[in-house]
Amino acid sequence: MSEKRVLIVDDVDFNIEFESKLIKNLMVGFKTTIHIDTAGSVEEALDIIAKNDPYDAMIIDMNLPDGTGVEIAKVAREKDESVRLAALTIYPNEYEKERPYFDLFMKKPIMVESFKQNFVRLLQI
Amino acid sequence: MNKSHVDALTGLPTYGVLRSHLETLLNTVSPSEMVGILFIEFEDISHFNDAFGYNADKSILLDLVEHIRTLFSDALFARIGTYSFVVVKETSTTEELISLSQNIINLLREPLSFQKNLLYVSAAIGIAHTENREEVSPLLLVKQAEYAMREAKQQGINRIVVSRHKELLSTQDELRLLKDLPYAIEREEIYFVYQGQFNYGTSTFVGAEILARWEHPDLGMIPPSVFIPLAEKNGMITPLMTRTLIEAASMFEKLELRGKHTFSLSINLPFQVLMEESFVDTLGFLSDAYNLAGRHLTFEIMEDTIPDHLESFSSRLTEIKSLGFKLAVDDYGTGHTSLTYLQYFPVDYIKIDRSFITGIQKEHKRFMLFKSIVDMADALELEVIAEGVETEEENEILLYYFDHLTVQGFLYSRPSKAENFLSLLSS
Repeated sequence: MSEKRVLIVDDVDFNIEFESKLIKNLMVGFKTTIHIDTAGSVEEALDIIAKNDPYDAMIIDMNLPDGTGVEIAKVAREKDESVRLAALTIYPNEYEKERPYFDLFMKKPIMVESFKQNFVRLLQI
Repeated sequence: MNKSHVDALTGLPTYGVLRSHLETLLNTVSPSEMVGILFIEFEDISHFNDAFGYNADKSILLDLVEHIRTLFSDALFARIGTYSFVVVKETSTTEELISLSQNIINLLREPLSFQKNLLYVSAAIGIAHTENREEVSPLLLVKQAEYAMREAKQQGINRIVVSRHKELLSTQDELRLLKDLPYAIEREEIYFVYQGQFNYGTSTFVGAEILARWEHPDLGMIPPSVFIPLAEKNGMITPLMTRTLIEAASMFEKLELRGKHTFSLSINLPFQVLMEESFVDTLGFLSDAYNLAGRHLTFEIMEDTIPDHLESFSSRLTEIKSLGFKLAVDDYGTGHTSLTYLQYFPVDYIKIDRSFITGIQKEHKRFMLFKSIVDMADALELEVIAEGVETEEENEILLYYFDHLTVQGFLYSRPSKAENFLSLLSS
C-alpha cells in the first residue's frame, strides 16, 4: 500500500480538523494511506517544508495572518516541481494573478462533496 | 450626556444613543408590548435661506423641533440627519403609532411664524414596529422605517406609511449580505445560541434548539428570517448546516461531561438541504467523524415547506432515521390544510406554532385548537413541544391542562450562547 504525504495550511483550527477528517474519511475507499501534516501560518509552513521530505500535495489557505499562500506555493514548487498545490479561498475570483502558482482552487467554506472531488483531482488518484 | 451623544443644533440625542437605546429596548420589551419607530423626514428647507437670510433654515428647524417634541414625552426623539428624525416608542398597538404620526402631521398643517411670516413645512413619516416578530436588529428596524418614509414621500406631502415586512432589506443590502455570507460562515460572524425546552413532567430542561445568529460588523444583528433565505439562495445553506451539525457535536460532548446523557438537541433542516442528493452522505460522514451517531439529535422541518406529495422523499427521511436521528415538524399548524403528509412523514415530534399559544388563556377557540392538536399527537404517539411560551398566564394554563408537555419560549429560556446555556442547566 502506497502512502501520500499531504500538508494542510490554515490558521483556523476548525478548518484543519475538518479537512483532515474529510481526507481520512475519503481515503477509506482507496488503496492509499495518507500522512497529514498541518501548519497555521506562512512561517510555520515554510519551516515544515524545509525540514521534511517533499509532500505529494498541499492545501493552502490563501489568507494567512503573516502572508499569502503564494509565498508557500513558490517555496514548495522550488523544492519539488511535481508537488500538487491547491489554494483554498472564500473569493477565488480575487486571485486571478495567483492562478499559475496552483494546480487548482478550492472554495471556502468547505462543502463536503466538492472538497472530496477536488481532493481526488489534486492527488490524481 | 457626552457631547458626541447630543446633536449640536437641537440638543436631541444622536444616532449612537438611538442605537444603544433600541438595543436595550428590544431585549427588554415585554411580550404584550412592541417597539415602534417613526422615521420623520422634513422637506428640504434650505431655500428659506434665500428669502430670510443665512441660517434661517436652522432657526426654522429648531422651531419645528420645539413644536413637535412636546408630543413625545414618553419616547426617545433623536436627530439622525439634516432633516431626518427618529422617534422610538414602546406601545401595544400600531394604531397608537399611526395616531402619533397623525398628530405630528396635524401640527405641521398649522403654520410656523417666522420673522412675521407664516411658513408651512411638510414631512413624510415611515413607521416600523416589532409586532409578530421574533427578533429584529435596531439597524434593520430603523432602515425599515426609512424605506416606509421614502414610500410616503413618493405618495405626496404629509403622508404616513406603515412598513410591510418584505421591505426589510434594500436590494443593495441584500447583494452585500449575499457576498458577505461565505466570509461570515468562515470567520464565525455567524454563531450559535441555544433555547431550552422545558418538560413539565420532570420540571427540567430536556433539550434545546440550536439557532444561528449573524452579527454583521457594519449592519449589526441580521435576523435569521433574513439571512437563512439568502443562504438558501446562494448555496451557503449547506456549509451553514454542516457548521450547525459540528456545533451540535461539540455541545453533546459538553453535555456528556456534565452527565446529561439523554439531553436532546434539535436543528432546523431546510427542505432544500434535505433535497440535495449528497445530504445523506454528508450527514453520514459528519455522524462518523464527529461522533454524532447515537446522540439525541432531532431535525426540524418547517411544515409549510413540506410538499404535498411526500411519498417520493420518504426514503430519504427513512435514511436519516436509520442513522439514528429524529424528525420533527416545526411551526405545526401554519402550513398544510391537509394532514395526509403525517402518514408518510416518519415524524417523532411536532412543534406547535406559537400562534396557538400566544394569549391562549384569553381565547377559548385557540385553547380548543391547541388541545385538539395535542390529543391528535397523543393518538399518533407523537411527542409535542409548544413553542413561544412567553408569559406566566400562558404557562399557567398549559401547565394546568397539559402537565406532560414540553415547552419552549422566552419565559423559560431566552436564546443564549453555549456557556450561558450550560450555566442555566446547572442552576
